[in-house]
Amino acid sequence: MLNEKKALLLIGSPKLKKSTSESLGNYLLEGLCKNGYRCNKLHILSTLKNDVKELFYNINDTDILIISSPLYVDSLPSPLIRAFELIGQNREERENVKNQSMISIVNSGFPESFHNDTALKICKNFAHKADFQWLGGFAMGGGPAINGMPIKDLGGMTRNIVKALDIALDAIANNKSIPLEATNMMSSNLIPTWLYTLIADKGWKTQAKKFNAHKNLYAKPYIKG
Amino acid sequence: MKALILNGALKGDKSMTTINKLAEEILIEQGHEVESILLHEKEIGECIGCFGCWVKSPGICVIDDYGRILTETIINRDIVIYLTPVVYGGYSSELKKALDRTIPLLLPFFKKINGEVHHKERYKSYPNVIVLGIMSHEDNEMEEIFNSLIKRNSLNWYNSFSGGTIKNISGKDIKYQLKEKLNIMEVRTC
Repeated sequence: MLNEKKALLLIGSPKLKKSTSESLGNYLLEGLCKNGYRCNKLHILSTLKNDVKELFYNINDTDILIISSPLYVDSLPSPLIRAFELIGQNREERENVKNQSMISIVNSGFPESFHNDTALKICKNFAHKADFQWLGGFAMGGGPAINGMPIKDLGGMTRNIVKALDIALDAIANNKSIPLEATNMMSSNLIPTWLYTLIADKGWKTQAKKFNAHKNLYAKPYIKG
Repeated sequence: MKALILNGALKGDKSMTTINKLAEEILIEQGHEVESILLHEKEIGECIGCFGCWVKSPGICVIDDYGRILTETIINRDIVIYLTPVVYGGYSSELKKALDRTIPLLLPFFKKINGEVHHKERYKSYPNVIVLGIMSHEDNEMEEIFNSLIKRNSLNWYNSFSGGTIKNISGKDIKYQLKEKLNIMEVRTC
């Protein structure tokens, strides 16, 4: 089909398993596939290591670029920043220009979603400079609660996320900005902050026990003197 | 005091070499002992988000490369300078790759500070950080993002970050701008 639109999901998480970024991005990508889009998905770390030309081809060919990434140290993970540097340079040099749009989803392990705001601003700046129409960005806290599971299988806890992404699907189809209503839904806490931190802190201890490291969690291996 | 400059220049970016040298000169004039690390020359793998540094070998990254040495060096310095081109308002991929590997310096556990949730500190104190973001043209949006990134880093790292953007534009005196940014630190650490 000549008029078939294309969607590309770029997963910014260097994780190969249990990636919340992939779960969130997959929901959108599957929705777009159902709406007739030709869909493709790339994992940033393996793409950078194996075939940058494939990355450029897919980026320059897509109609909608979805970037789904975790928050690393208040910003995007380094491989995604490297991709932005390379894509930005590539798009300065390219000849063919088509109308393309971009949205981003950034999730973090903090319960509050605002920690992701700076990373989303970086995505927006990239979009403008690399000639993508910015449709908007989602900030999500409590990412580990999803733990790579399909969003639609998680029931009540993710109902606001599902609603927000469904609204985004409509916005993408009409090439319109994601409404504030949807970004607010995505930003709302999955569970109360006190409960989230309680569960998370217990979870770290449980995980450490598997490696027999639970008695050493507070180690200071690099202290001098 | 012991100062460490982390040079996040991308491969082939020669402009950062001069700025690195100027920053070294200013710090030496201030009486600091200075070491510079050109990050793209070092073997540093990307953080893969496994959290092994929190639950498997607490405080030490599971990837055995220069990232480990760098993390140990950072925590044992008084002052750390992040030198980076401003990339879409953030740090370069080279600097970010190194910083992503420093999370073993924090604990996985959470605590609330001024109403916000942050990771608890693993160490008693952290170095003072001065961020120098090099811009080859004026761009208010990127500058604003960069300053907000410095602020967020400061809140999450229990240390006082300072710094900002340096304009590498004709007519702007780089040494004067560097001195201005590095002097903020001098006043604060006295």
